[in-house]
Amino acid sequence: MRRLPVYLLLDTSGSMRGEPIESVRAGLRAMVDSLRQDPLALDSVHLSIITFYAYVKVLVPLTPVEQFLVPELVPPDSGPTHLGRALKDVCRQVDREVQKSNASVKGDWRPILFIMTDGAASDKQAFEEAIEEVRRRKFGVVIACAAGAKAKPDELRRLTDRVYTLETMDSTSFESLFRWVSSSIEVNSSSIGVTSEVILPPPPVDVNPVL
Amino acid sequence: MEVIIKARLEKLNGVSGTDDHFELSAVRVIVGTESRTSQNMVQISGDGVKGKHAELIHEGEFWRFHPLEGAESWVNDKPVAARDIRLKDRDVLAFGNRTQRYRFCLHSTESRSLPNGNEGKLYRETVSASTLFGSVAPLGYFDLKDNCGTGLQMTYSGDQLTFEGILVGSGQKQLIVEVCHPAQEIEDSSGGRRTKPEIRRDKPISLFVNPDPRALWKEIEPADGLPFRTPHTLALRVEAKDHLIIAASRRGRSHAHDGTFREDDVKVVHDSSSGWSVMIVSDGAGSAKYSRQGSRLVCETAGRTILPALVAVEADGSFEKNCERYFNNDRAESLRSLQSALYRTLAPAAKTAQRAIAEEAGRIEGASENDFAATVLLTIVRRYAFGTFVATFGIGDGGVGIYCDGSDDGNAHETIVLNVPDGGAYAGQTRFITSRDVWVSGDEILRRIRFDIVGRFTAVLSMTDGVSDPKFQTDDNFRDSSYWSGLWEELRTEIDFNGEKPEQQLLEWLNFWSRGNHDDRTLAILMPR
Repeated sequence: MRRLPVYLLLDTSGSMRGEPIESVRAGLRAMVDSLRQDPLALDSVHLSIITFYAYVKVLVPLTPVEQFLVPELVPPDSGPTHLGRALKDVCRQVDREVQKSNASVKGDWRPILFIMTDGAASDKQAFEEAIEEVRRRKFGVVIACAAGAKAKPDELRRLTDRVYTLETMDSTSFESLFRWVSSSIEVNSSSIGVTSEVILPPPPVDVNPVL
Repeated sequence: MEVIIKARLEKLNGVSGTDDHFELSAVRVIVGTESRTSQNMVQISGDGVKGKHAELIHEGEFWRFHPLEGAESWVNDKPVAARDIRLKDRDVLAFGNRTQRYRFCLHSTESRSLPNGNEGKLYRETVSASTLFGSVAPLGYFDLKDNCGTGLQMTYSGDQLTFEGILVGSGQKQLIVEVCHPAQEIEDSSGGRRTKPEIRRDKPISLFVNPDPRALWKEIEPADGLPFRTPHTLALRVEAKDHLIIAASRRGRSHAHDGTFREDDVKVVHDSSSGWSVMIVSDGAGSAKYSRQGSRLVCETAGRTILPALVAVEADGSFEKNCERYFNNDRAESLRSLQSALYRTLAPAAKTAQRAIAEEAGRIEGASENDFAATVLLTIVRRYAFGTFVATFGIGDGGVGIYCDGSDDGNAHETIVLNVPDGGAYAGQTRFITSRDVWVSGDEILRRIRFDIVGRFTAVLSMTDGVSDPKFQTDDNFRDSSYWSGLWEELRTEIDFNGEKPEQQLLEWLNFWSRGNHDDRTLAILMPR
């Protein structure tokens, strides 16, 4: 069986406290539900959730979607957004968890990385270094979502050309965001990675591509 | 049964790390000047840790904290002097060394959720009530008041609850367990005794039941008006004087679910005057939009061009002589001659197929050759009096092997693998007939040509990865005869090769269930008779 590893890197900095973080959790639940309704995803998708604010936490290591339980997300009162450090930790997890092919092991599909942040990276130097690290991991696709008014889509553009903005941070928007992420995952779980061009389904109305 | 406690220490200062998640009921902590890599980080490890700093042991509702001698520790910022301290959820504990203190917050990640189950499958999970509900002591009895139609039953022993049953239905379920705290004698504030009455509470527990994946697959017809329409199945049979060839190809569940076409194709040909047989299987790339036409062009073009080339090479009888010499281990000259003959026949047939794809791409507005990307496994077979000659030319994954079953005469099973798949570091990465680097040099082309001559054999099998992935999983297994004998056993159980329509039975067999393997499947079999 070939696994499709999906890493969700979620900003849980202080500004996410309250409704936004609860909405993210509701969105995650909707995403997992929809993945479980897709027979291909149910067989292949493995999810990991990594959260970051000042510190990075591997909240859920790579877990088959059928065993996945949506975790609690607890943002601190305040603090910096260490996106660079978080990306480096994602790379470390990928090195540790994603299986490459060899004669005796069937390799995984190329991993998918989804990043959601509502601020700008406060560790500029680490972020610079992380851009190159992420590039070297050869993700199947990297999708970045800048949520709310304070997010910096231009910064995310340096990581990937698939950057989207989410203007409102209520549960409806997050739910449609995560449903779209899950349909993007489903598309990828059935496509073969010969070409680097991954086609994503059109995003919902609340989610706007940054061109 | 051992109860696994899930908990984590949230690091409140120090370097961010990924070592702070554990699933153990006892944890040893070291403050790391122990190893160079840990650089003053706190490491947590289940066992085998030297230089212990403290131990955390889970006991029912709380954690017991044992700082070890000489180590500095703090609980909720108060220095710890004694051993055996009870920690509650969200207590802050800190470990120190000469220069720094590392603070952690203890979170149990236990929630009132049972591990997920699977529809139609036996479910059996034992959990401790105190883990599930937090503090419930002293415990009386438990009763599963509502199983939410899941078919589960619950038994308990002490505080261990066991949920068991074949799961019915799917989705998010909420079970209700009644927890009873029996009446007890307690001392009141005035020093007298009174009876605290029995308390019963309904506690909800969530359980997610995954749907049965077999029930989720849909069978959708591709949209009208799409070009290059392809039937969902194909079954072929060719009967030659001394052998039989059957082949079948079937649209994968993943394509049926998405309403897309089968992208595999297969062709089998036999020329009775020269005695040559040809099997071609091709797997169109999932990401290439016209790959079904690519695989069709590969099979048709190579199938059409290979036979005249083989007839020509056979014309002066030297090919057969070289085969015989090679078979009799006189290989000095014969190897080179055979390689050269194969290079002149197999490579041009594949190259013509690639050109046909390039021309087709040129005819379609906006299309490129890559839109038709497909693999090719071209196999040629000729039976001679002394033995059977088999050669292959392959680009991409899937595989070809000559299998010799030993079960009837007590010999070992043997397999000669004739194709080395092109794989990348990740799944789905392979080469195609349209890949530029395949055609760069004569050596690169020669590398893809393999042949052998066998005396006795059971069958030559050529398959796309839709069959080789579920049946062999890895390249190592593909070289392992026990996997081949397993496959052959399945095939000969399901298919009556001497029957009326063995190719239809092969097509039926291709429908087998294998978790996570839902690609198009194609298998061609040549067997002597």
